[in-house]
Amino acid sequence: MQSKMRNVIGQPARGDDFYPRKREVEKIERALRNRSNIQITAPRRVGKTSILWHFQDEQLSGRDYVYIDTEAIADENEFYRKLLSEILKCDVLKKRTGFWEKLRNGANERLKKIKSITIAGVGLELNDKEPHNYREELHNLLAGYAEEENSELVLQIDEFPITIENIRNAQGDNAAIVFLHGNRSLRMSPDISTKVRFIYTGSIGLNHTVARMDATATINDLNPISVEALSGPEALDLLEKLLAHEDRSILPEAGDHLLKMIEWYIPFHIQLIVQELAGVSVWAEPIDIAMVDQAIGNIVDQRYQSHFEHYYSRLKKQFKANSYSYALHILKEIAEKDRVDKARTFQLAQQNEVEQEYKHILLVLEYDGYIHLTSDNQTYRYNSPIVKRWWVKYYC
Amino acid sequence: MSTLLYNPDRKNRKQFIEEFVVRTEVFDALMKDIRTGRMKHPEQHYLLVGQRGAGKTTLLTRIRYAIEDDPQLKNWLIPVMFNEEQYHISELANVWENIAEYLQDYHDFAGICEEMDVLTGRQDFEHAAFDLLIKRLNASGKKLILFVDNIGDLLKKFDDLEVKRLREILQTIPQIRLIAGSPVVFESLLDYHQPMFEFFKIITLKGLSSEESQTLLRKLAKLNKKEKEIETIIRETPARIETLRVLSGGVPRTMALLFDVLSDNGHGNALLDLEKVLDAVTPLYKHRMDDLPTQQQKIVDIVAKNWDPISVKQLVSKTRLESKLISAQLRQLVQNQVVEIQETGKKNHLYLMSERFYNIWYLMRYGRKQDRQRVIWLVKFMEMWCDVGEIEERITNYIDKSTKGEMNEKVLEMYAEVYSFFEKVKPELKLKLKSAVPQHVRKHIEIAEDDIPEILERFYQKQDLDGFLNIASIDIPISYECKLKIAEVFNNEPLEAHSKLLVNLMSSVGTQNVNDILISLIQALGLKMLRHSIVLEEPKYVTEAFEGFINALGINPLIEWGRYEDNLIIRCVYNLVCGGYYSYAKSLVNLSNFAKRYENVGAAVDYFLSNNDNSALMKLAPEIRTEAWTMIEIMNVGKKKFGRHKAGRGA
Repeated sequence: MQSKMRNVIGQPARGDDFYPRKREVEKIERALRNRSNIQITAPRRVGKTSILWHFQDEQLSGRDYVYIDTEAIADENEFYRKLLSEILKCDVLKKRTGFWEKLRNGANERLKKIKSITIAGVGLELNDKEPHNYREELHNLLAGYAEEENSELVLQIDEFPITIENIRNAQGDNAAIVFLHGNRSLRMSPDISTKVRFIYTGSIGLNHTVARMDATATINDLNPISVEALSGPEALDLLEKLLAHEDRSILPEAGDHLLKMIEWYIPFHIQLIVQELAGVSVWAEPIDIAMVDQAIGNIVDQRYQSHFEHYYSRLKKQFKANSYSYALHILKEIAEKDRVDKARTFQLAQQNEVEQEYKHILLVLEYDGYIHLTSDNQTYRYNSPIVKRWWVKYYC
Repeated sequence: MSTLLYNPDRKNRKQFIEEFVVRTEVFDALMKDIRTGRMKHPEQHYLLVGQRGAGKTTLLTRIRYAIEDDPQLKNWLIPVMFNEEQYHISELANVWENIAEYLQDYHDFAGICEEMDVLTGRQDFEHAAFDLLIKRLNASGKKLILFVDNIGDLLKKFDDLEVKRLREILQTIPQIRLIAGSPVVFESLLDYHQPMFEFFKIITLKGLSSEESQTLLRKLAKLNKKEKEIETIIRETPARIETLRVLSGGVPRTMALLFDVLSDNGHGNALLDLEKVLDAVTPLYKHRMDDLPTQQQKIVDIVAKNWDPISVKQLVSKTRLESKLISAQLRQLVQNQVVEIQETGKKNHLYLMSERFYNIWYLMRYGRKQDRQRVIWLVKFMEMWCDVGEIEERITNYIDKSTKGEMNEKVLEMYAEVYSFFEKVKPELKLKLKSAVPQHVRKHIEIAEDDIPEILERFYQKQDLDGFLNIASIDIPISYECKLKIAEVFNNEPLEAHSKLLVNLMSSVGTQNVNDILISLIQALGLKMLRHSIVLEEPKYVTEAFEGFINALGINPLIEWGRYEDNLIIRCVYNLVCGGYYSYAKSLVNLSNFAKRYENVGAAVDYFLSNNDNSALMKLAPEIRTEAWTMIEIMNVGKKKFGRHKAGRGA
C-alpha cells in the first residue's frame, strides 16, 4: 500500500509530512562537515524552511540545531537577544547537562561573563531588568559552548533578509550594513567558529537584499547552497503519497500527464494540485487525465489567485521605474510567446531604457523562480507552465 | 426575524448540531486533519474564505463542538473562540491575555491571569506573557486551537512587527493551531512582503450546489414545519429552487432568509414580505460593503446600480479611474466573490454582482428614489423569481383589483410602476394593464403596434366582444401599415353580426376617448359591411355602414386625416358607385378634407381625362399616384354610370 503524507500547505512540512530531500540534505551535510557557514538559496516555496526543520527534528550527524525565525526583528541588539533566548529555550541543549550546569554555576570563564541570564527554578531565563549588549552576551555563550562541548551547534536563522530589510527601514542603510558586518565577524570569530555553524535563509534573496546596499562583502564567506525542484520520479512519489492521504489514487498515464503539465516540480505546486484533485475526484475512482486538466484549470482560475498573486505583486517591491516595466514586459512576452530569445531581451531592454541593468533583472527573475534559460542557453521560458497560464489569463 | 440568524454560536448546542447539514464535506476534512494531527510540530493552519453569511462562523462553531464532544480530543485540545467583534483587543499581547482569562475561567488554569498581571510593565510583556502561556499549557499537557472569525479585522489592529511575530509563533510553536475565517482574502495575504502571505491553507466556502441547496431547504422546512410545501416545490417546480440558489448566490444565510418567500410558492403575500426580508439582510449586506476598500466600494456601487453586466470601459467613464486600476480592483472583487465575470468570448469581459439578491438589496437601498427607478429592485426580484406566467397572473390580479377599487392608492401606484417594466407579458394583458394604471405610468407601458391586429383578430375569432372592445379602447397612435392590417381582421360574418359589432364600436365612441384603434376599426368594418351589403343588395345595411363610416371620419377633428383615410374613401366611393349609390359617393367625395387634399390630384386627373396626357399625373408624389389612378378609374366608371342613372339609388 502506498505510504501516506499529509498535504501541508503554507507551513513547513515536518516529521512524517516532510518529503526527504536527499540531494539538498547531503549538500548541506557536506558543507557543514567542511565547517562552512551557509546561505540556502532558492525561489520561494521550494521547501527551504522544511529542510532546516528536518535537520533540527532529526538532529542529523549528532549536531545540535536551533531554528530561529527573525522576521519580526527590526533592531540589531534585539536580533542577538532573540538568538540567545531561543538557544536557552532549546530542549536539545537542555539535555547537555554538563554545559547547562556550567552555565548555572559559572565554572567556565566565558559563561561566567554572561550577565543577562538568571536562574529561574530549574531553568534559565533572560533577565531584562537592565540593558545588555546581547551581541557580547551571545558571543560569550557561544564561546563557552565551543570550549565545553564536543558536538557542533548549528544556528539556523530563517527570514534573515527580512530582518535586514526591517533594520534598513527603521534605521537606514548604514545600520543594516553595520548589522551585516557584526554577523560576519561573529561567525568568523576563531573562539566560536570551531564549533558553531550558521545557516541563513529567507523567502527573499539574501544576495539581492545585500547587493542593493553594495554590501556583498559582508556575506561572501557564506557557502551558497541551492535547493532545486524535485526530480520527475520524486515528484510522482510525492504526488502519490499526498493523494494516498486523501484516499485517492491516480492512473499512471494521468500521473505522467500531470508531470508533463507542471514541468517544474516544486512541492508547492504539487500540493496545490493535490488539494484541487481531492475536490474534483471521488473516493474509489482513480484520477484520470481529464481530472488532472480540470484541477490545473481550477488552479489557474480565480480562487487560487492568492497563491500566485505574489508572483505579480512582489515585482513592484523588487523593481522600480523602468526596471519594473522591463520585468513586466519581459514576463508578458514570454507568457504570450512561450519563449523569448536573448536578442529580444536586449531589444526590450532598449525599449525600456534599462540596457545597463537588464541582465541583473533577468538574473533576479531567474533566482526568484519565474523563468530559466533553456539548455541551449539561448531562450528564456517560464519555469512553471501553470504560472505561465495564470500570467496569460490575468496580465496579458 | 431571528437574531440567531446572525449569531449561530448562540443557538442551543443540540439544535445547532442537528441543523448543521451543509458544508459537511469541509467539516469532515478539517476534523480528519484535527484528529490525526498530534500537534507535535506546528500544524497546518487554515483560512476559511467566504462571503458574510456563507457559513464560516457556523463551521467554526461546529468544529468547536466536535472537538469538545470528541472523547480523545477533549482530553488535550482546548478550542478557543474569538468572536467577530474583537473590540477588546488592540495588540498581540491582548490575545494571550484573553486566552489566559478563558483558560482560567473555563479550564482550571488557576492563577494564570494573576501570574500574567505580574509581568505587566515589562518591556517584553508580549513575549513574557506568551512564554507563560506556553509554560502553563505544557504543564497541563494541553494544546490550543484558536478560532478567529474575522482574522483580517484582528490583523488590522497589529503593527507590522506584531503580525510577523504572530506568524513566527504559528510557524514555530506547536502548541497553538489557528483556524481563521475571513469574508475577503485580505490584502496582506496578497502582498509578498507581508508575513501572513501564503501562510494558510485556504478553503473557499463557495455558494451551495443544487444538491446542497435542497438539503438545506429540507432542513429549513423541517424546522418551520413546512415539509409538505417544500417537497411539493422540489417535486413540481424544481426550477424555483434553482432560482433561489442563483438569487442568493448559494449563500446559506440569504437562502434561509428567503425561505418564507419560497415556501409561499408565489401565490400569497410573500412579495409583500420581501421588504421585511430586505430589511433583515441589511446588517449582513452593509457589512459586506464596509469590508471593501474605498475604491472597490465605488466600483461595486456602479456595478450594482447598473444591474446588467458592465464593461471596464463603462466603469472607466463612470468612475474616472484608470482602467488598469479598475481591472486590478475587479480581480480582487471577483476573487472575493463579490463580482462575477461574464465571459463574452472576446477579450473584454463584462462584470456583474455575483449575488443577485444582494444587488436587489442594493438597488432598494441606494438606487434612485425620484422616478420609477425607485421600484426597480422589486422588478428585478420578480424577474428572477417568477416566470412570465406568474407575472401575468399577478398583473391580471392587479387589473382586477384596481378596477374594483380594492387596492389602496400607494400600493396601486407602486405596482403600476413595477408592472410597467415587464416587457415580455402578453400584449393584450399589457394593453389591459395600460388602461388600468394611473395616467402618468401609461407612457411607460410600451406595446408593439404589430401585436394589435393579431390580438384583435384573436378576440374577434373567439367572439369575445369585451376583450375586443377593451383593446379598441386603448389610446395609442398607430401607423398606416397597422391600420391596413386592422382592416384585414374582419371576415365575411353575416351582416347582422357585423352590424351589431359596429353598433357596439360606435357606442364606445360615445363613452370613451376617441382613439386611433377604435376609429380604424369602425372605418374598416364600415367598408367591409358596405361592400358586403352592396353585393348582397341589402340597402338597410348599406345605409348603416355608410353612416358609421361617415361618422368615423368626421367624429374627431383631432384624428389625423391621412393617406389611409384617403385610400379608404376612394375604395368606398368605388364600391358605392359600383352599387349605384351615387349620392352617397358624392357626399363622400365632397368631404372637405378629402376634396382639399386632392385638389391638385383632381386637376391632374381632369387634365389626363380630357387630354389623355399623363405628364401632370407623373408629377404627383409617387405615394398618391396610386390613389390618382384609382380616381381615374372611378371617374371612368362614374362617367358611364352617372350618364345612365343621374340620381342613382342613394339619391
